[in-house]
Amino acid sequence: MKKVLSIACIALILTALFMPAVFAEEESEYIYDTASLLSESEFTEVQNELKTVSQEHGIDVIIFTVNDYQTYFNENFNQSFSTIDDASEYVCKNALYNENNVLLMISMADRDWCIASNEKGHDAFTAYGREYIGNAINEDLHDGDYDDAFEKFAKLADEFIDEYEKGTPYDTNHKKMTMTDYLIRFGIPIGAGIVVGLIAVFSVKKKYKPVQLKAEANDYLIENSLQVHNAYDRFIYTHVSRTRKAKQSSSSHDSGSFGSTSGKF
Amino acid sequence: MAEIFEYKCPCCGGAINFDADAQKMKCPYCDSEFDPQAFKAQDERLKDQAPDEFNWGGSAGQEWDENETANMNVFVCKSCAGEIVADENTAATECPYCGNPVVLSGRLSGMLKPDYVIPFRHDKESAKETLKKYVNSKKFAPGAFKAENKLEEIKGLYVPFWLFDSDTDAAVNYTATTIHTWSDSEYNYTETSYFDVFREGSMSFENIPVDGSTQMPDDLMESIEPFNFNEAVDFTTAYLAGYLADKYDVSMEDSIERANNRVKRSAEDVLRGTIDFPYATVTPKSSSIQVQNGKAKYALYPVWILNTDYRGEKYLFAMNGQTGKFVGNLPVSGAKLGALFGGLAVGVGVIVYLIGTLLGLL
Repeated sequence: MKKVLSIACIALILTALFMPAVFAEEESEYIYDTASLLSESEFTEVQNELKTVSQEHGIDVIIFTVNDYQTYFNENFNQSFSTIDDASEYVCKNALYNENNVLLMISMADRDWCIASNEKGHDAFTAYGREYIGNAINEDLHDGDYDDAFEKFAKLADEFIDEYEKGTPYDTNHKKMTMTDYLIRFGIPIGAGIVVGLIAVFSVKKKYKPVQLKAEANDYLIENSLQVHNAYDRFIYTHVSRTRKAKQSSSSHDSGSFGSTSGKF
Repeated sequence: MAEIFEYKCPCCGGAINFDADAQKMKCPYCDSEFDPQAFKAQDERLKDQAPDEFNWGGSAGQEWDENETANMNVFVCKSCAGEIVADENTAATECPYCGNPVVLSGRLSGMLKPDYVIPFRHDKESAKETLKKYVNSKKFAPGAFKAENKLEEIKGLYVPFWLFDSDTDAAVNYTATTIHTWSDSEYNYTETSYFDVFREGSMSFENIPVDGSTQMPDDLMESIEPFNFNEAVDFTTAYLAGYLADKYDVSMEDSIERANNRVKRSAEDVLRGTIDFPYATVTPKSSSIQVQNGKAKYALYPVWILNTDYRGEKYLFAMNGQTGKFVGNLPVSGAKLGALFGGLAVGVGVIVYLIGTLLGLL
């Protein structure tokens, strides 16, 4: 029994010592491209952008790419995760130099993405914010434009942290507006007003032109003269059409000072 | 040969009119009232009376060209001897000199004699008042139209109508659908079921009116329908006194198609009304309409015609002389329509924005 406990303690100590070392030793690294999605120049460019944002705000903005998160963490950290959210939580809480962080993890095997935020990072990146950024970069990820996706992530992270520092982070009650949002917010009411206005105008115009030929002679039908001699209703055929339901493209989980949002690209 | 009838009061000899309020012939001078049917006998007697004949020699003036007189006739007023010029379709009018109402009986006898007439129930003042109310009730008519609109002419006119009766057999095929929707975790489903619906039946129509005068716009005449034929009386020229009257210039044969179209549409509608099942849609696919025992009557219906002028443009109104139903197209003020559009667009826009924001939809 003592032998088992000793081995367990040694394994725990080794893991604890080994894990932070991977990232802690690379304090100035903000992108870990183990899946080799970027060229050298792209890597440098993204690295510089993430570094600038992170150092300016004191919240680390990290990108981590792997070929398969399950294999990677099993082989390198002796950890087994069933979801990319769990893997991201592990990294955010245990493996990063700064506990105030936001992480974008990409796993190529099942084309998963996950944005996780911890401590101050969690305050700045709410579930709404993580989903917003995930949706914003999803198309680039889908198209294989990883460079663009990562630059967009860095830029949006900067904007979200800026807003947090102003006192109110972007959230469901304080949404970040895009041109499309503005179009929806103002376009729908304006469109509804125009449609109702036009209906009223055409209705008035029609009302002022009441002189029309009568299409029918219902006024001259002799009461009770109608006799139905033959009537049937026969079923002919049925046609069934189906449309796929719109699926939730991402899911979010929040617990204490940590939260993550994941989806597929 | 057209002949002028003037109805004289047996009491004082003044020219008498048909009075819409009293529904009797009334003398405007001594207020005596007479049953119009009593004049029927007088009409019959006059029919047999030999016309006056005067032969004068000499010649003055020039001969009329045939083209000049083709559509125009001259009559002599029996009260003042003034000359009345009327076109070929005028059957009743008034003397422009003494104002006496005259009936040009020969104009009606040359063609078919009307079977029925519905007497006027609304008089000229009623027509004027109704026009005023009609225009003033239209909030979107230009303000200037209400102020500057001038009543140019008002005339009580007996319009010739062909009245068609028919027994109609109809067979109509409809395509009907029902729609059922449901969903599972993956899909939304829409099931549309199609039905062949058939209805065959018979029905009868009576007194479907078709305007028999080309001078009256058909749409205007049909817009003041319906007329209540129960109030129609046997025709006698006495009812025409004090009003204008046209004789038909569209034959019964040429009017049948218009009646058929209306019967066909009504038959489809009526049979559709017998479909009890709440289908989502019912669309007529084909129909066969057979008209049996078709009969036609010729009647004169009372109509007030009002012409107004607004900034050089003519507006024509009509009032059903029996029921008082009033119609006529009116101009619409662009400024008022603009204000309505702007007000609604802004108001609805603000409401949608507020509701959308409150519900978190925008």
